[in-house]
Amino acid sequence: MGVARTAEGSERDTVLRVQGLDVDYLTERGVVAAVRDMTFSLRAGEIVGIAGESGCGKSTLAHAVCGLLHPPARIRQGRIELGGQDLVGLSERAMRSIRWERIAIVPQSAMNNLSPVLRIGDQIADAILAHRPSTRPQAREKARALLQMVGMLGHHAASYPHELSGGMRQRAVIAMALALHPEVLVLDEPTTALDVMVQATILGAIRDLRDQLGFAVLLITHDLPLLLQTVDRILVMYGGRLVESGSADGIWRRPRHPYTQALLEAFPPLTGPRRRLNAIQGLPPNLLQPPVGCGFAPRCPLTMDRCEEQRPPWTIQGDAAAACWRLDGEGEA
Amino acid sequence: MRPWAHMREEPPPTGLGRGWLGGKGWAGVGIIAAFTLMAVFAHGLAHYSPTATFAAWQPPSTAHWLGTDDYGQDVFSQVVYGSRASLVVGGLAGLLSGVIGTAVGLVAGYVRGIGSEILMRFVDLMLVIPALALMIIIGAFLPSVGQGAQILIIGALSWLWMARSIRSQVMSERERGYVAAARIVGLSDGEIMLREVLPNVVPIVIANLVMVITAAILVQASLNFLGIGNPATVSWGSMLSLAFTDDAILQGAWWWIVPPGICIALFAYGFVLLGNDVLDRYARGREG
Amino acid sequence: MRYSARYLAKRVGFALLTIYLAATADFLLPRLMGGNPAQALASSTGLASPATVAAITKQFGLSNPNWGYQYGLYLWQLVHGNLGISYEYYPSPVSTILLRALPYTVALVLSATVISFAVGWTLGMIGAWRRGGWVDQVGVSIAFGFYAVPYFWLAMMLVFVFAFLLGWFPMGHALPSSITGLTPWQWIAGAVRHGILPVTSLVLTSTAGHLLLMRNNMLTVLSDDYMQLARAKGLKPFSLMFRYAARAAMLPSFTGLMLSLGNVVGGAVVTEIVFSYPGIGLATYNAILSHDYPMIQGAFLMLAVAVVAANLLADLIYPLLDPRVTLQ
Repeated sequence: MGVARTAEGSERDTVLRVQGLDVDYLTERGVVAAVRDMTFSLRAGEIVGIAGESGCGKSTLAHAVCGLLHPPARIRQGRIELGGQDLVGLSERAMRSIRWERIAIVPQSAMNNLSPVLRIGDQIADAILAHRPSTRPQAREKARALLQMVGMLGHHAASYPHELSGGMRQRAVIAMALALHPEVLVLDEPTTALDVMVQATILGAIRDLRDQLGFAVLLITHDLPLLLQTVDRILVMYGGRLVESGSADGIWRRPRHPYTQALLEAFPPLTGPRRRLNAIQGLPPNLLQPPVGCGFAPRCPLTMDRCEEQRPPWTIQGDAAAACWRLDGEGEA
Repeated sequence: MRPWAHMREEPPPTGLGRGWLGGKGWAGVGIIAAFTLMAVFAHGLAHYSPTATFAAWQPPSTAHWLGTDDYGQDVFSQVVYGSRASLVVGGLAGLLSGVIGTAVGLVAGYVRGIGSEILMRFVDLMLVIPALALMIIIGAFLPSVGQGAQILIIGALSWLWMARSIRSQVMSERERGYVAAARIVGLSDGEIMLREVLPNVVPIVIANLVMVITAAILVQASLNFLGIGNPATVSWGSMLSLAFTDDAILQGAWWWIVPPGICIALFAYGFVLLGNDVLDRYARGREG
Repeated sequence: MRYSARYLAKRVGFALLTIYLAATADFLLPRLMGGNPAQALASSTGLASPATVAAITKQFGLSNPNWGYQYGLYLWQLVHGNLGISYEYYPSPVSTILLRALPYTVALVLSATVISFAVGWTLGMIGAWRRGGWVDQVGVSIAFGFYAVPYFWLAMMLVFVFAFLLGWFPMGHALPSSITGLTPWQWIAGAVRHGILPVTSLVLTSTAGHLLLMRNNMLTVLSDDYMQLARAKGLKPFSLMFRYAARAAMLPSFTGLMLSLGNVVGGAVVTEIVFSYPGIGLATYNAILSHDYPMIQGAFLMLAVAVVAANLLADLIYPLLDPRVTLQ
C-alpha cells in the first residue's frame, strides 16, 4: 500500500490530495466496499479525468471529495487534503463554509439540479449570499456576470430553468459552481443526457475557463474516449479501486490494464455516432463481498490463475501505472 | 444510477418484519372486528330493546350503563344496535363506491382516447361540487330514505377520488413490461385489465376502499344528523341528531352525546389505520 | 401578465360548465326523486293565497308537464338571478334569504380554510423535514385521529365543554343578541367570540388533509436533485427548508387546498346547524325540516357556485405562484 503511487508533480502546487481513502455503504444486507484504497492528487490548473462503469465508485468518490456523503455512506479511513487541510471528519458547518469557496461540484445531470420555481440568477445569487456578505442586487449582478462568463446572456438570469435548454441549464450550474472562484471544480458526469455537439462545446468551455481562471478540474465520466480529448491525466476505476493511471495520450496509445482496453473499445470516439460498439461482457464485482484478487479477473480475456487469488500490485512504468499481474516484472516498483 | 441516489435515506426498518400487515394495520382490523361482532350479536349484548322506554334523562347507572335519553330509551342498547346501521350502510356504500371507483379508474387509466379523457373531465367537474350538498338535495326530495337508498346515494357519489387515484396508478402500470408481454401473447384489453393490471394495483384499491368506507361512515352519520334517513332505524348519527334537537347539551346529558360520537370516530379510525398500513407497506415494497 | 388567453378561456369555461351541470342537477334531481314541484307547491302550508300559488306556477311553468319546457323557464329565471320564492318565508325570494346567509358561511369556511391550511402546511413541512421526529409522529397521528371524527359531533362536544360547562364562549349564533349601541370594536370582538368554536371544529377536522398533502409533497421535493445542489452550495437549513423545499412543495398543496373546499363546505353545513350559525347550512337544515323545496335547491346551487368561484379564483392565482404553468 504505497503512498506515492501516481506520478506526482511538485508538492507545492498540489491543490487536492486523496490518500488511502475507503468509503463504505452500511446497508441492511451488509457493508458495501464502494471505494477502496484511493490515492491520487490534483495540481493547480490540472484537469484529471476519472473513468469507470457505473457502480465503480467514481461518483461516490466525487461526493466524498466535496464532503457530501451522508448515511448510509461513510468514510472508513483515509485523508482528503484540500490545500493541506484534511476534510475528513470536518463538521457539517465547517464543511459548508469550505464547499463552494474552495471546492465546488457540478452534479450528475446538472440540468435537473435547479429549483423549478426560482429564477436562475437568484439560485446563483443564493450561493454567493450563503458565503459572502453582500446584498441581493449585488449578488444578482454578479450572477449575470457569471452567466456571461460561461457563454450565456445576462438576461438569462431572469429565466426559470424550464425556459432554457438542457445545455443552457448545464452552463448555468457551471456558472453557479464557479461563483466563488473555487480552486477545485468537480464535474460528475457533466455531459450525460446532452447531445454530442453540446457535450463538446461544454467541455471546450470548461477548458477555456480553466485557462482563464486557473482552477483544477476533476472530471468524472463513464465515457473514456471523451476524457482522452479533454483531460491532462486519466485515472481508471474498477470495483472501487484504481486500476490504471496515466496521461491521456499514454492511455490512448498504450492502455496497460485489460479493463482500460475494454473501456476504450466499448465507446466510439467522441465525433462518431453514440452507440456501444463492444460492450464489456459480464458484471462488475459484488462489492458486498469484494473479490480477493483482481476484481476484473472473471471478465478478463487475459486472466491467469493468480489473478483471482492475489490482488495485483501497483506497477509504475514511467508516468503511467496500473494494477495488473500481466505487468508484473515489467515495472520499476 | 440516478444522481445523488446513493445519498438518499434508506427506507426505515419496518421493525415488525414484512408481513401482510403491521401493528397499526392489525389494530385497525381489531377495531373493525370488534364493531362487527357488536353488530352481529347486538341482541345478546344489549340489555334492552333499543326502543323500550324507562324514566327519561337518567345518568349512567348499573341498570343503564350509559343512562337514558329524553324518551327514556337505554343509550347503551341504542349504541349497540346503532352499530348495525354504520356497518351495513358504511360498508355497503363503501363497497359500491369501491367497485365504481375501481372500474372507472381501471378503464380511464388503461384505455387511451377521447372517451376516457371526457370521463376524467367529468370526474374533475363532479369533484368541485360539494358532495354532501348534492346528497342533501337527493335525500330531501326522496319520499323516504331507507338504508337501501342511503347506500345508493352515498355509494354513487363517493368514488371520485378513488377513481382518480387508481387511474394514475394504472397509467404507470400500463407502461410496465408485463402489460406489453401480455399484449404480445394476445390477451384482449379486458383480460389484461382484469387479470394483469388489477392484481398489481390491489394494494392501492384496498387502501382507497378503506378510505372510501371511512368517508361513507362519516357521511352516513352526517346525513342522519341532518334528518335524512329513516328516524325509526337506530343509528349513531340519528341518536346524535335527536340528542341535538332535544337539547341534550343544555340538559348536560353527556352520556347521550359522547358514546355515539366515540363509536363513529373509533369505527372510522379503525379503517384509517388499516388503510394507512396497507399503503405504507405498498410504498415501501415499491421502494426497496 | 402571465395569463394566456387559452388558459383563461379553459378555466372560465370549466367553471361555467360546472355551474351549468350543478344547475341542471338541481333541476333534474328533485324531479327524478319523485318530487312534483306543482304538488309540493299546492300542498305547502306556508303559502296562504291561491293567487300566489298560481303566480309561481306560471312563472316556472309548473302547470306544463313537459320537463323540457320547465327546464327552459328554470334556466331563464336562473340567469336573471331568480331562485324561486321561499315557501317558508313567503314572499321573500330564496335568493334574498340565501344572500343574507352567504357571508356567514363564506366567513366560516374561509377562516377555517386559511387557518387549517397554515397549521397543516407548517406541521407537514416540519414533519417532512424532520421525518420521524416528534412533530412528525404527533402531527400525523393527531391529524388522522381528527380525520375520523364527524364534524357535527366534534362541534357538539366543543359546545358542550367550552360553552355549556366552562361558559367561555357563547352557545351559538354569529353575533351578540343585541347589536345596537355597540362600538365597531365590540362588534368585531363579538363576532370573533362567536366564531371561535365553529371555526375550531372545522379546523380540527380539516387540517389532516393539508398536513398529509404538504408532508408528501415535501418528502418528494426533499429527494429531488435540486435540493442536494442547494444544500451543497452552502445554504443554511432554514433557507433550504423555506426557500427551496417548501416553496416548491406548496404549489401542489395549493391545488389541494381548493379541491378540499367542497369538503369544508359540507362540514360547514353541519357545523352551522350545531352552532345555530346563520349561514347557508342552517338555512338548508331549516328548509329540510319545513319542506321548503325551493330553498333547498337554491342553497345547493349557491354552495356550488361559491365553491366553483373559489376554485376559479385559485386557478387564476396559481400561475402567479408557479412560473411553469402558462408556458408548459
